[in-house]
Amino acid sequence: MSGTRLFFTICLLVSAALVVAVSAGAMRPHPMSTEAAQGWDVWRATGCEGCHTLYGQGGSYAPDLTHIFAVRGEVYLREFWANPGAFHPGQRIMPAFGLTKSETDNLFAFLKWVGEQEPAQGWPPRPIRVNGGSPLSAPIVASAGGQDVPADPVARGEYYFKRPPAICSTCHSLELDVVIVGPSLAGITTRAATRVLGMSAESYIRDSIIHPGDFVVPGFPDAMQRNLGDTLSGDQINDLITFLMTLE
Amino acid sequence: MMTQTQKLTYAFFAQTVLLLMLYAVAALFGAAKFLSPSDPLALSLPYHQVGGLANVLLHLAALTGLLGGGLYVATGARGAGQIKYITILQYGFWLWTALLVLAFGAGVFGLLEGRHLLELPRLLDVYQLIVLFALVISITTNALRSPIIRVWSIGMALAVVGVLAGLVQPADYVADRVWRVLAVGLQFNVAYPLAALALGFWLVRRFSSVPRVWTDTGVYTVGGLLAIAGVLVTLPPLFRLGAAEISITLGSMAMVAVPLLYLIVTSHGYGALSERAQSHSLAAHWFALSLLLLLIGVGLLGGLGASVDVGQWTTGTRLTDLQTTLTLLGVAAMGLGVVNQGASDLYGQQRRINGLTPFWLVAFGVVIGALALGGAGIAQVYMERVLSIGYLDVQTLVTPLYALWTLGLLLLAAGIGVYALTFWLRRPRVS
Repeated sequence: MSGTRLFFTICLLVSAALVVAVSAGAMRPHPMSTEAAQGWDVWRATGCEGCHTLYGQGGSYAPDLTHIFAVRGEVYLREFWANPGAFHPGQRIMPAFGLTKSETDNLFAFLKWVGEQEPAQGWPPRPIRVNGGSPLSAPIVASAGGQDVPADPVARGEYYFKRPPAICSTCHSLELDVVIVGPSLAGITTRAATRVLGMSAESYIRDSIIHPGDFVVPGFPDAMQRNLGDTLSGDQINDLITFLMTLE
Repeated sequence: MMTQTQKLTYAFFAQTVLLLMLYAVAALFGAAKFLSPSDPLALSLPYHQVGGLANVLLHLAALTGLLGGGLYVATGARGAGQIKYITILQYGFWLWTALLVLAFGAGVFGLLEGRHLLELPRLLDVYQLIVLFALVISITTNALRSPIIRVWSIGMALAVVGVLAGLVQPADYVADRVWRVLAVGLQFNVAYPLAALALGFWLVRRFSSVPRVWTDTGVYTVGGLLAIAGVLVTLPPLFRLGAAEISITLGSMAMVAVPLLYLIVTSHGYGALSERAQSHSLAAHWFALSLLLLLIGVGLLGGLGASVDVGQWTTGTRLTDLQTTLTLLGVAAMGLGVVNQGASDLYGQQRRINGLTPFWLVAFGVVIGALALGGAGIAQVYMERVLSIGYLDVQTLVTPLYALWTLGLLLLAAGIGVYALTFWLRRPRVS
């Protein structure tokens, strides 16, 4: 056998040996529940991987969803799934796939399972956010919509209430007794003043925005976004509070 | 008058050009969706459908080019020799054509499998496996003594193995990811570059005055280096999926070794380019472009991304897309080089079938698009992954780069269009 042919053959054999040796270690089973396995079928059938990534593998048109279940929670995801176009106005639209309840349940079970497996531990090195996380985000979205931020603080607070990055209106109605996901905020000032002994309405509202899990209204899920303290600037939070304090 | 084999070869060439045209159109559709959130076709023709179709078309274009090139090389001078198993080849060709039509239809009607870069439905994958195997066997047995065909056939055999790996249905999603990494890596990082470079060495004999022994020995040397480089790019990402810590070591090696190995391969090729002989085709140009794209795609981006420390930040960003796209475009460029040479030979008038215009349009289009997409990817890594700025906000900020990327695709589409037009106008007259 000529020298170069021998070299080629050796390289092929070494390559094959490396493939077998390295990939064998990754072939451990990771048991899935029936719901998660069926959710995986739904994931494939709807072509989610064409736009989204899991563990960094997939399409690049939409965010990575490896930890989405832990970050957003089931309640938020159900609301999002029912009407995806309402959650990020002015951004790319996700189609509504019209899945049945059991298909949706299974899909969420799959996403929950994905976030709990070994490949998800320690990856990504820093959280991948869907939106927000930068002082740049609010003015970029505002100018993309072609609308000026109002000068009046109350109007400004109402502006942030209805638009990214907060979009409080997604889950909280301003109409009395109308529940979307969280409690209605009609009359919030009156209720907030009496919720915690010794805590003013303003402090209660501020704390609820920045640390939503501290005070959960009985009968409602603990599903509010945890990152508004990072997503919103101090001025934006102040304006929101100014607006909410007008709702007596 | 063309022999049966020559007609089949020419048909493969025509399919390659047509698939690349369709890819360019689909890719433009997909890129346009990144330009603005107000996409009128967002719901009726969503991105996952368009993107999937573009991936399938580019993949099949590269594969068809490799098949046509292998057939032409295996049948001797001007492809005039007769294939031993001509019946298998004829049936294989029609079955392959049917596969292309079915795959295109599956893409258009949204019937693709939801696995990124493995989008063909499983039934079509099985069909592809059988037909590809039959075609490779019928081509290889015709010129088993040729070093170029030997290396080409090993590349194509590894492609078959890659398709087989993609068909494995594990019981859990993590194992499915492992098989996906292996299937895609084997095909994109090892098999296709190997087969493409083998064809490249055949082209070298046409446009260069290097002695035959140089190509016959060089193809083995380069093939061995490519195999090692491809495996070094493919395996380290398995670490996050549970592979042993040796994959971290391989990843660190890959960061240095893979670009170096590809530099050696490229310098081999450019050495041949520096000894130009009289040629009636632009094969040398396409050969050079292919080497450059493979160097950047697999060599640079693949090598850097293979490092576990780097890959954890870049995986899933536009840099990953750029790597796979450049790799397939590099393989397709080599296919276009063989088409350019082969079609010119078959035209029989010792003249080019197409001039420099399509070449420069494609070259500039790919370079501009790659720079733009690379910029978007780097911006995405730093803003989204390092600074944790929201994905949607980052995508809005890099929109100007997406506009540049779309411009690159427009130039690419124009170049492929002109190439196709002149390919058709200067087709061999069948007497």
